[in-house]
Amino acid sequence: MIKRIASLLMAVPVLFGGFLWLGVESANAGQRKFAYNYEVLTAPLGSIEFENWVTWRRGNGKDQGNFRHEVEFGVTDRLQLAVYMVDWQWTDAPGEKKVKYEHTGVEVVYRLSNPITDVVGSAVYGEVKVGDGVMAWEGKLLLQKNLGRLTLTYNATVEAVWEGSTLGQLNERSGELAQTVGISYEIDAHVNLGLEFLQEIDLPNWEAAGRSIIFGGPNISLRKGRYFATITGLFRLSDQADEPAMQVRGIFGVDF
Amino acid sequence: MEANGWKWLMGIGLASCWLVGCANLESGVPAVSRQMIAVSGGDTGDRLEVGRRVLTTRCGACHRVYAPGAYRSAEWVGIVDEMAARSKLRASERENLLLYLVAVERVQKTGTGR
Repeated sequence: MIKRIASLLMAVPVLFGGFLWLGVESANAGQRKFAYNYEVLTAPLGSIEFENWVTWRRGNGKDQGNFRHEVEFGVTDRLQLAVYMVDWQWTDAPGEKKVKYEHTGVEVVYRLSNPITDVVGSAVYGEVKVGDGVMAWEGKLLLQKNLGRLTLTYNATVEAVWEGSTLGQLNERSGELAQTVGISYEIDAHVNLGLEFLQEIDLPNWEAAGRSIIFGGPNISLRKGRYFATITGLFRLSDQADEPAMQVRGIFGVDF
Repeated sequence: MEANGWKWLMGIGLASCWLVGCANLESGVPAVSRQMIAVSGGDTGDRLEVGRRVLTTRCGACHRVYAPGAYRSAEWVGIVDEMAARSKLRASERENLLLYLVAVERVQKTGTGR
């Protein structure tokens, strides 16, 4: 499996070079202010952006890192397409130390209204991921309002997951509801500071709602020219001791 | 799910609705008006609309949207030239953005309103 991840990762520099070449005529995509909230303004027509995600969770004697390498395209000024080239996971826990490939996927975002000129900016989001013995679908409603230096966002998410020994035998099914809220203040054109909140509710086998887990914490977003980075640290605010006590997500992107 | 969980869920949802509801304030990016069309040479309605859209989707994707009245026409030319190069605006997008910003600034300066 590590070989497989390594070979997929070797494709990254090749794609990177390709985007540099394509970038001669492409435009800037939007630069993220949040790590857990999606924003409503989609990448403009012709833009290409390369993003790398890192999410680190710690708690209950376990460390886990999730990594994503993603390319985002502006298909029209309202429609954005992203390809998750590879999602992979690293785990370090007592008796368990592993790196595994998770999935590859596609994401689509369509902007319905503008967060600056309309009462509320809105967009719909769909995502499909396929991996070894797993398939997942995720839908989101994205809301946003920009008020001068202030950006307010809200995302409502429904996720369905099918798992099994192979893709042909996906016998187990589960779901999750989640919502996120973000508030970000622009200090200057290069720096935003904010807060993000995340609530997750498991739906085992889609029969009954499980526990509700709440996280919240600070966020910083930096951008300079074609590059941006946004990092959020979330701390568990609810009292489930067997869940991660904290998680940190960083997204690093470059526009071509 | 625990009752506490539903309270959090409803609390966050209601707080978000409240925030979004409160957010229905003046955007500082006025809609295209007859006065703007007149001060920008006439028959420019479509171009002014494009300029306004570039301001709120392209500029606003990276940083806050500055009110067109925040700078004088001559200052906007320099700002837009610098930012257009940085964000790779097409020539027509740059021209229409500038047309809109200068039209709003002129209308506001002369006090002709919308």
